[in-house]
Amino acid sequence: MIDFENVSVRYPDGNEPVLRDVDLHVPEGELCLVVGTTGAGKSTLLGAVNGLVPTFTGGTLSGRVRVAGRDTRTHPPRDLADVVGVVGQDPAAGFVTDTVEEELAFGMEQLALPPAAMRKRVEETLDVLGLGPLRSRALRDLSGGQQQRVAIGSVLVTHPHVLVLDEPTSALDPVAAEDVLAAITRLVHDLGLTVLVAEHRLERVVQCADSIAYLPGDGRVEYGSPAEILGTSRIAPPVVELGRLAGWSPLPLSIRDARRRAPELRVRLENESPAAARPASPPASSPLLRARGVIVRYGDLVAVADADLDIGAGEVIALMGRNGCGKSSLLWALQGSGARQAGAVEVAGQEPSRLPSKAARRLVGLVPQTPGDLLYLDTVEAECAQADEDSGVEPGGTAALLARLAPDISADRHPRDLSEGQRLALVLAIQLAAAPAVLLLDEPTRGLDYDAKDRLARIVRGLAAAGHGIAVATHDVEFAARAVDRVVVLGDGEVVAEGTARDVLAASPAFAPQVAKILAPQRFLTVAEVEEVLAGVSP
Amino acid sequence: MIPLHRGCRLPLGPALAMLSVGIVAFAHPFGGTALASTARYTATCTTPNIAVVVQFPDGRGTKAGCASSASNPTGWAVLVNGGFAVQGTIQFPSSFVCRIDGYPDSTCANTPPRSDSWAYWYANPGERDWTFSPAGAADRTPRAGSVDAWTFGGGRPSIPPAAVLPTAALSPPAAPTPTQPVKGGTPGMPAPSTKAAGPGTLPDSTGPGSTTGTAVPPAGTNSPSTSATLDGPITPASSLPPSAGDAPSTADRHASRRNSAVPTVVAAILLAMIAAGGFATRWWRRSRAGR
Amino acid sequence: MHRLPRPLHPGAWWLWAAGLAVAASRTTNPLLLLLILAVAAYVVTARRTDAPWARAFRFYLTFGLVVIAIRVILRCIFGGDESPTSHVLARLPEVPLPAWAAGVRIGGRISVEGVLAATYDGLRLATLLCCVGAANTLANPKRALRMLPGALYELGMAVVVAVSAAPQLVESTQRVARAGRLRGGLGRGRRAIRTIVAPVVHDALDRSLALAAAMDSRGYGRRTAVSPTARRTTGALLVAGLIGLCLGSYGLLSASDAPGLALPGTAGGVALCVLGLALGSRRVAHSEYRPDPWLWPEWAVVGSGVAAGALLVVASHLDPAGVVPPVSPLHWPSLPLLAVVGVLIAAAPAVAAPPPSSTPARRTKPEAGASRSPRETELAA
Repeated sequence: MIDFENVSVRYPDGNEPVLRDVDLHVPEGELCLVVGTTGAGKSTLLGAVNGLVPTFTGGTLSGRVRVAGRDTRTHPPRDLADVVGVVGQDPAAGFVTDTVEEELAFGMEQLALPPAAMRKRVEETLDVLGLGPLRSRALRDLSGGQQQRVAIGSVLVTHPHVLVLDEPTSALDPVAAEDVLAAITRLVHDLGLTVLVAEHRLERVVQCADSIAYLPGDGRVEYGSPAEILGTSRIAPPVVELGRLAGWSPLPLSIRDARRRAPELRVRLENESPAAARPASPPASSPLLRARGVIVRYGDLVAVADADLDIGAGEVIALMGRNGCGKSSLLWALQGSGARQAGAVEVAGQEPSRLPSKAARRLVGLVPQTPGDLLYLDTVEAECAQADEDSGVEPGGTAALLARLAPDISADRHPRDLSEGQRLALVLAIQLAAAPAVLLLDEPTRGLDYDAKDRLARIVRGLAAAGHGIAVATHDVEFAARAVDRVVVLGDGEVVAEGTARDVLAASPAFAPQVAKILAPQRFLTVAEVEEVLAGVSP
Repeated sequence: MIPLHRGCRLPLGPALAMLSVGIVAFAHPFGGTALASTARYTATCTTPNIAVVVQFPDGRGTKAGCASSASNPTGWAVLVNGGFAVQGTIQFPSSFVCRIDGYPDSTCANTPPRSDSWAYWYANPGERDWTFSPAGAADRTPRAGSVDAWTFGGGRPSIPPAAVLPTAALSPPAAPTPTQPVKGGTPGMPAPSTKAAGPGTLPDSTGPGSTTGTAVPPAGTNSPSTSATLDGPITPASSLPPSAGDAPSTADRHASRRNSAVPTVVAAILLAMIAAGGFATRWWRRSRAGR
Repeated sequence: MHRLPRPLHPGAWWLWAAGLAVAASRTTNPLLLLLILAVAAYVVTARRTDAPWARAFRFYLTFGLVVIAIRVILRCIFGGDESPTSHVLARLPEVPLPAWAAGVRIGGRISVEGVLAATYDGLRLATLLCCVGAANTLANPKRALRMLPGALYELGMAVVVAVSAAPQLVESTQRVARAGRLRGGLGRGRRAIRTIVAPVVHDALDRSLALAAAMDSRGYGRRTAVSPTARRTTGALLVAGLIGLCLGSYGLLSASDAPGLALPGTAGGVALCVLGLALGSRRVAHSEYRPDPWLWPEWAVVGSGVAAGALLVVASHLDPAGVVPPVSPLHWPSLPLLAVVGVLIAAAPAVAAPPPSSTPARRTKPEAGASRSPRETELAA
């Protein structure tokens, strides 16, 4: 169905080709997962399928790409619209109309289908994706998962043969991600679509994948079955890492497979408890940040209802919960820049919301969900210099911080050209320049690959060790399992559960990391813990 | 003048008289525009003074008037005091001249274009030519001894400033004398006065429809008045009927409207009914939506 | 009789509003203008939907008040009235100006007539604005743009996308302004502007590129092959038709100048435009999903608007002083019967148009900072 023949892609401002002599053949009816670190060329590969590369993005493509027999050299993307459906990273950015029904019909209008056929197909697509009750809702009112499903539906109405999805679940919480992935799997199994999915969070998708196209980063593409590729690839989900550690062969890809192999590992780990690598230190001294009775309302909507929170020095807290449960509102209210209708927040004896913003950021620093909102200058160097000036630090302080956090950023790059992880590091450095005692991170793991998340986890633990108090709002369970001491679960604006990471994460069905699910009822959270214990057990 | 041929044995006096009659008889219906430049428009005013002359198009002739400069009147006040009926547009009732003496007969709702509006010229004392005024009539204070001119359609006035001379009054203005409107100028009547008329006072006709007087005032005789037409005793414009034609002008129609507040009350009731209907509809829709 | 709620064809609303606008442009009688305003507001109240863009009518009313206030203030400053027959309201000190500004006067006497004239004029302009506002409120702007003939489809789509992007810009600016406080305040002057403008513009650029890629991938912009001469002919016909329409509408709406321009210009312009659009529509290959029907309610609504405009034009000829009342001498405005009948006919759409369909009300508001998703009712969905 999809044929890449000796394809090389080179962009005008790059020295190295992004894709080099790629030969890829994806047969019909397969769900192929595209895996690689940031910048390895995943987006280029996906864009080349329907001709956006090079027609839309520029660059030179040599070789041949054929989809369902049509060559992208002779067919621009709009001529392939009835064969390939593309859903981008941000579905809301691709919406043209106002309501769900009109959005579904838009693609068919462009293909000049007769109105009767359009009506029929709209109804069918609403049924397939479970969007029936939403048909006349405005697109802006939908949740992230619903928007993603509408975006998939809007390309599905033209009955394409191939579906290309670029990070469909990156912005979704685990439950919504499950919904979307279930819909995609149903499409593959029931309708026989060929689906190409690029995803960072392999742990969500790898069990549904029929094949994996792995991009190591040097322009090649390795294609094979998941077990083959993941056996040797550098990036792998925790279940595969655990499999490699325990020496299981063939490697398990899903929790179910792993649990079937797990009994003997569980026996080995029988009486060991995970090393208290992170002593659950009770905040002996008074907490750095103390919040009581915080209420945040937007008109009729109550975002945070009477929440209490303590952040102690050297402690990392995770705020978890579904999308829209109030995590971001709570963080903004704690920092002092967000609306707060009631409650008291105290940091070092002062209320951050009553202070001017320059003083407030010395007490509490916040890295927002879209870090790019803070960047407005042309080079990394200029941003660091401005941050020095804003924070009253001697020149070069912020740049030194940045070098420690992310050593691979060159000073003359435009901030918008940086990858997600690098931009996050830059904003983190800018906020740290003011040396706040408390640091808040709002959904930092969106768009980060495993390497970047690793680095972030290490940075967070390093800052905690240096005495900061850190709170992270996230729904990335694996990251939380690695980096976090305590977990606070919010539901509908209220604190639903609170406790150490091990207590809350291992026990919850929605928020348990893969290792915990595999080794239940033993409470291991990460592969590293298992590795430590195994190293300690066997001499 | 008619050159005298030597040897022609015509009697001079009667010949000259008949010649003049003939010239007047023939010249009169044609308005004598060629001769207009040598005519003089006398307007007697008290000193210090400002003269104003209005040239109506379509053969309605030219009217002159005079206003005292003692109170520093604006060009608008000069027109009004000079005996003309002036109306502004509805948008600008006292800054844009729309109708003078009822001409043109339009509703004057919007500012008319250049081809349909009055142009304001002036000449300071001693100047030989007209200057187009950069300011409107209500914004300009003419100097004592200057002359204002109004033409329709934007063209220059066809008479030089020198032809409109405010002359000093030898006697204070008497009561205005009523005139009999005479259609057209009757050439026969002023024969003796024509003879007595000196050069430069040839009459100018105002064409049919003029209701002003007919006789050419002998030069040098100063009838006391504040306005003068060319071929009639000088009559103050205020005693003239305000319209140039017999039909009542638009201004008349406006002025004679009844001023009653009843339509406003009716409109207020209608508005209240519509507003009540609107509120009722809103309440009904809200209750149906169940908010 | 039970009528199914459905949205009226947007063209019908716009034609109705155009008729009402023609009626308003012919009169400065404050009673008539207030009646037109009331009729427009009544129809809006009765027939608008619950969509967010349908709540904008009060902004048009406010804007109209601003227009009237600006006119009156400018008249007070620049329209000094020295005529002896006007009634004085107040006296401003006159500012002496150099000789080259002789035509301008600042200060002077403020007369009742002047203020009244300015109010009437401002009221007329405000009524025109509110007629346009009523059309915008009653007809979904995006569906109105879909009415455009095939030749203008891309233009309409560009406007639709721009209209959709506007709330995004607003939200983006709010987000960036809030983030600016995290960096210690926005700074002063030029730096403050740069702090907000740079991220917002970058964001907007990124989003528009993403949207363009998405639309391209979905097949937008397909067209059948067409020869260059056909394209040029279409373009020339359209341009000539538009010029004709401009001249014709100028003649129609300005009551005094160029009466000879109204009918020939409009007719000629319409004919040329129709020809050009028919020629240009042959090449566009796209269909329409659930097009709006044109049934008797649409005819009724358009008819009422046209009747209002026509009756007021006739009334302005029959009774010019009633429809355009003079300001001096001061007197109460009158109420010409024919004009009132015309205006009241324009209220017919409040019953003739079908009842609006109700969309489920938005119960939640997107949480700030989250991924723009409100609390989901997915369990119910």
